[in-house]
Amino acid sequence: MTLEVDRLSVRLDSTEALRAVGLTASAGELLGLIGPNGAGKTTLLNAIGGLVPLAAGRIAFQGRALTGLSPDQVARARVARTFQSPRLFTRMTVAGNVRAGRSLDPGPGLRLVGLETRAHELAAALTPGEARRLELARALAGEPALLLLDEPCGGLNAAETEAMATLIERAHGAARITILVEHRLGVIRRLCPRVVVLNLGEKIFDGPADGLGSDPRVIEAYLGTSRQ
Amino acid sequence: MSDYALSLLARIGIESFVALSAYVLLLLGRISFGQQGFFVIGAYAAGIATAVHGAPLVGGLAAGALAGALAGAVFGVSMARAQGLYFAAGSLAFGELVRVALLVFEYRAAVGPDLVGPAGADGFRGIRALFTSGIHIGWYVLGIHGLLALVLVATVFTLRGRWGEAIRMIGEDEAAAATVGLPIRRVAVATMALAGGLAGLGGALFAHYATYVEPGHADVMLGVHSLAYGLLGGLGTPLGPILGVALDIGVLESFRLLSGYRMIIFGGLVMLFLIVRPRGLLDEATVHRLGRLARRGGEGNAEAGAGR
Repeated sequence: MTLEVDRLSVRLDSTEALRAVGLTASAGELLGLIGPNGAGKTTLLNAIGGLVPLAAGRIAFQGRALTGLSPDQVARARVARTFQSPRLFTRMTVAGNVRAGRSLDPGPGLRLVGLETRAHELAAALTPGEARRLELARALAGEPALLLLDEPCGGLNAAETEAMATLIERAHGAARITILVEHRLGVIRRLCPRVVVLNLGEKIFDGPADGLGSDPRVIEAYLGTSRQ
Repeated sequence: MSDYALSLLARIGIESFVALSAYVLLLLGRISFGQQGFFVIGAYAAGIATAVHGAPLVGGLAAGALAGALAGAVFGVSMARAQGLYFAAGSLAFGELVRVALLVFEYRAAVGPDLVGPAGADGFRGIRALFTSGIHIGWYVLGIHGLLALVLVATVFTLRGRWGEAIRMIGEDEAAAATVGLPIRRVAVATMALAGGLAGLGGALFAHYATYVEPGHADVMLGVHSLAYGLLGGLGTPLGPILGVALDIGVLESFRLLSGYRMIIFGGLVMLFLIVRPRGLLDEATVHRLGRLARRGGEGNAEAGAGR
């Protein structure tokens, strides 16, 4: 099982958000995707998920082209995601959010993220941290083969971040590819053996997390900026 | 019961179907100003079935609902992905298209000595199946409300199931709903067919109550009202739009003191609610709270019973 992104370009209005980005990932890989704001990380997830049209390039998953599929068709190809800001169905219950119109038991997903006691509450009543966990449970409920996580630790405090990192570690399995967009390098270094760095829509690094600190382009574009 | 009270009851029942129709579209996140189009399609189809082709009343009602649903599906295929202003404008255009098309629509056949059927701008007279079948008007109005109760129960159960969940998800965040694999287009078309069927059934009931329909019955104000009923009564339960109808026709129109000011009070109420309670009196949070209270009450009673 592989994900192949080949020379992918995306144009948003007049901006070239992604320029000929390529990457491959295999089953069991937990891939970190980092870069400064505006680098194109979310755009790459949106492109894989069918939420933005491609200007060029192709995406294939498990040998099947995802290029040109609608977001729901991509999802039915066992691709799930979370969003930078949690997008829950706030007028539905917590359990309803996990079920999300599918014929599945929300119980195991809710137990995994520790929300089983909140199952019958409206999702609007959750704290931001709980909302992130619920969104992860919803993404996992369909047993995706490709999981796209867009800053799942965004806005969380240190304890919540630690708990979320543990959850992601538990949720990731040998039969799944997980792509994790995250700003906290501590989380990336802990979870992701391999990291891809984007800057201004281009891939500038693809290698082991240990190599991040010694790559001059990463230092200039990302690490240097964050140390300022 | 006076004729006036009976006519109010009939209107409450009939318009409740159109209000329910606009309600399911509101849940889908679509604001429709065109449900009067499906209403009048159902009215004409039902009239043609009984008055022109001699179908029994029940067959006429089924034909009206089916025609409304079919029109809803056709409309849905073309408008499934339209949202916001585009859907609102498209639905308004559809309603007007139906009204104008009926001005030139003729489908007349000789029934005994008379020519019966839609006659363009002159409308469609002689839809007499209710009276030829010998049903008293009082029983018919009771039947309208019985049918409404059945449809309400069916709608409640439908909306509690997977389809209802899908409708609510699309209504709140279509992109997020797509990312869990919901077939957005299919759900939207099916929901628009359901909405068309509900409005069509309302039209079929109206045609046989009034014995006469005309293009003017596809007045945009019927669509606007049916939309407002859900926004006023609440989107948390199918009872919400019915509550809206009861408030408007049952209270504002039926009391002489208020009837002169009906449109002012109703319009003002809708505006007020859109500002302070945009999802109406019985919104999702209120219905959820009431449901939990009822469950707790039920559990308390069960425990008390077990303790005895």
